[in-house]
Amino acid sequence: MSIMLNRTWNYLSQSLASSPTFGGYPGPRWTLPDNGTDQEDRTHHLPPVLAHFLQTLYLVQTKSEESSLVLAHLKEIQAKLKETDVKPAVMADALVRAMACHTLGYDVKFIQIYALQLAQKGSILEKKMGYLACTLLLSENDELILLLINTILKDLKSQNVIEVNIALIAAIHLTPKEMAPMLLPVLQEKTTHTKDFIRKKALICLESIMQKAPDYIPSLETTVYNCLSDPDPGVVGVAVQVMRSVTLHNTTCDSGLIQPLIEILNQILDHKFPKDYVYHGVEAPWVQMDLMILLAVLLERSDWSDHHAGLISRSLLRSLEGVSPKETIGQAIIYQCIKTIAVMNQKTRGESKIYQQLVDKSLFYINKCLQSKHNNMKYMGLASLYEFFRYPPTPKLTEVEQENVLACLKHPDDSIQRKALSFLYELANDENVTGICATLVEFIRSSKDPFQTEELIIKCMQVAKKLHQSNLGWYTGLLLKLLQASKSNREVIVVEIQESLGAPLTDEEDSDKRSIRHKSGLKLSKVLENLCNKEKPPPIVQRLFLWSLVQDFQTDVTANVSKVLEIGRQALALDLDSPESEKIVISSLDSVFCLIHLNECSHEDIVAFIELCAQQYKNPRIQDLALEIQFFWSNLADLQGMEKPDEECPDWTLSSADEFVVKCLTEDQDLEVYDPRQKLISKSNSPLESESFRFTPYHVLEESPSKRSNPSKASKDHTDDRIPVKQVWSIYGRLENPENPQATKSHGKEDANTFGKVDNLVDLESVALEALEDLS
Amino acid sequence: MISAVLVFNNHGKPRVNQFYQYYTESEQQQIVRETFQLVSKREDHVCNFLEGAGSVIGGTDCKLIYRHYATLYFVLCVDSSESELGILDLIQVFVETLDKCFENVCELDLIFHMDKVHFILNELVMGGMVLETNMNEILTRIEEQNKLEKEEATAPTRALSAVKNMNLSQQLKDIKLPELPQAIKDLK
Repeated sequence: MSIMLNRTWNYLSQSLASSPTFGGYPGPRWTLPDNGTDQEDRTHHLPPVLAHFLQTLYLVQTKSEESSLVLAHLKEIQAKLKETDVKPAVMADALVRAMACHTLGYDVKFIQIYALQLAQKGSILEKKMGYLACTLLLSENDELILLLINTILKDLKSQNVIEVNIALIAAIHLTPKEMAPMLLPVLQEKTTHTKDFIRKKALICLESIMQKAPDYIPSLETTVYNCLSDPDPGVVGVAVQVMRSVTLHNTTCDSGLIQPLIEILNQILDHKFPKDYVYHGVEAPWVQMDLMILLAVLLERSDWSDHHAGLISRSLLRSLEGVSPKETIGQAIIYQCIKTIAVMNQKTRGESKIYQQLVDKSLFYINKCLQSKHNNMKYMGLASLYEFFRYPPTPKLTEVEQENVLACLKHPDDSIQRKALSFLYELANDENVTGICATLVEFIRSSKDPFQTEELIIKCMQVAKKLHQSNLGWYTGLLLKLLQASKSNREVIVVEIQESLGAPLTDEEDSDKRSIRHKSGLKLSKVLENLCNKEKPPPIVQRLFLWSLVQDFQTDVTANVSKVLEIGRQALALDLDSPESEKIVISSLDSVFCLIHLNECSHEDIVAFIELCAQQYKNPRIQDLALEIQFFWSNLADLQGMEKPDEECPDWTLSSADEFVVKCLTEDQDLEVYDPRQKLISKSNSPLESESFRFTPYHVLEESPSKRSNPSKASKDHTDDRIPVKQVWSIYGRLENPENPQATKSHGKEDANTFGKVDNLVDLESVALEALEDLS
Repeated sequence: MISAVLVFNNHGKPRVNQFYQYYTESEQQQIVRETFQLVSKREDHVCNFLEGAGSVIGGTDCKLIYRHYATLYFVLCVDSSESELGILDLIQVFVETLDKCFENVCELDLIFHMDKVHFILNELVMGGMVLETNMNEILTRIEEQNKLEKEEATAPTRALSAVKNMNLSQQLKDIKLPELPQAIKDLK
């Protein structure tokens, strides 16, 4: 017995000597403060060095002092941790300091590996600290996570409940996408654990991995459904939340879920939940709200019957009657109720009495909110009303209500204004669209938030586009205002203007419409001219003006030409390094090109301008464009004899250029031309043809699978099996009657010109030479 | 879903940052700075909801719901699936829990006991979803962990004192042996 005592004594004395409490470095001790301590005593629960560091960090005045302190300290920590035999308590202390520095924004990457080490070994306390540091400092994309995954898995399977708890919290933050399926079986098992908080955390963990890796995870519906009938109400609450994610994730929804949810709601309203869950006089408010949210989702996505509607309505009515709107939480529940009621609005035909009661109560509450002086209530009133507008048929608003909404537009609070603005789009109809757009433009001009401005501009455009009713003058004017106010949506607006004014009119349209369009176009042109004559007009306005000058509604061509040239010259005179002035010059060249076919314009000015552009060696784009225009102008007569291109069946194969290319390659560069047809013919004649390598051209395979068995035969009939391309061009130019290839073959003359007979190379040569002469 | 929980003081110094989506360090600091700028401009009587919050967080779907207590701002960034007023009350529950755990909680508590605050937050919100709203449950969890920590910390001292108090000589004297003559008689 004495030997045993001896051994025990020795062991104890050894362990005490190395314990943090009695020797070595004092580790962190996290205890609750005793009652009645004052402020200075709060630090006594921490080791003095750590407390001193944190206090200094708190008291430092300037950013430079703080950064010098932190950086020096981090260096110390780094040096300390690199020593051999660092005790876990020391590591934990260092982690606390590093986390404090990290919160303030400093880089503490070096400590990540120590955090991992601490999480992997060490007592429960140290593990906890290690995991906490890992969740804050690491992310699932880091490579170090791979080292941690095994530890997490091991801890999840541990017998100690606290370890499982900690591991679950870490698993949510730190599981990478690929590892998610590994955790799935363990987590599903934990949802049936004896402890309720483990079950809750396991459910949330399952939900998070489902979000991360939806394709790898099978449906969790059964697991979550089982948790809905859990004896612990907390788990039920969490299960309802997770069920919402699962339902949104699934493509189909089963309305069979509605019944159990209503039962749970009724149980809450019957005070069957423990007394703990009463918050400010309301029974389990968050669970109620989550149930209503989930019901709204189910109502939107599944088929539900009137029976369901009746049940839901009754429960919602009970809920509404049980809360007082004076408490914030009461207001929260009412808002959620209204949201669910609004969704039902879609399908209920308003026949149910209870539903009607609900709607009346909601509108009454909304009215009260809008008239309230308290800003939160106003906001919620607007939000609730908006919900009704999302799901037509919308209830009719009385005059008073409309006024209240419009009064909110001028409210000094930013958030309320925003909410009221989002209303305007919904309220817009044919009669008030001009007024609403005017209000929106006012807001856009006075708004300081660029994101909001752009959002409003897009919304305004959408509303106006839907409802402008061919009032083109007003519509174009509005778009022009938006163009001037917008910064990032200018191109979109310009395209819109061009589409509405420049679309080619078909003959079926009224002459009225044509005249309206012409008038609006001319008006726009004038306005743009005024804008351009001011100092430093924005480049996009100039480009739009240039575009408008060449449209078919313009009447005075000469004057327009001179305007175009003037703008072009101005832009050239500026430094062409900026892309904007380059774009203007290009636009002016485009406009010149559109105008040159009119014989009334003065040639000298245009020629001079184009010559100037052609000499812009620094700007190859402008130079190229100018040279192209010069080329076209010199061949103007030929071009004008041309028919308009047939837009229905363009010749994508450019088969007319084939002979020219073949000639250039064989003669000038002595290269072999790739001609699959020829090669196949030669191959089939060669004795070395191998059966194994059967080259069947794709178009043969595509067209006739039966011919696949005889590839050699197919190759000989190459001409017949070619994809029928409409022969549009020949070497002499456009064919007069572009026809199908089968028909074309019957014409003898055209046959000689088509690509079909490459054998007549001699003829080809002479023909090609002639063509070249023509071109030069 | 909650994207982030931020607590910073009146000067914009972050005290507690917890993000439930991945952001790099610089993005995290930028979010804190932008949120501080947006929230500090608000007067006291306006509503507690901010929409269209900045370019970094969330985009158009993100709302900031905040509450100002003395020197601290508690801000939660949520998306449209969460109820605004519910979150407002959640902030209230969080602060009340902190108050119960640290008597009359103040900014210093958040600094000195940062990890404890994180543990409390982890019991309240996990993975962006609301885990528990019942304050008593949360406090029970924290108490269990505290008990465990106390046990771990004091385990060596307890063992030492137990050995010291083990007065062997006295215990030997106090041993009550069964009456042998009677036992022998019974055998017979």
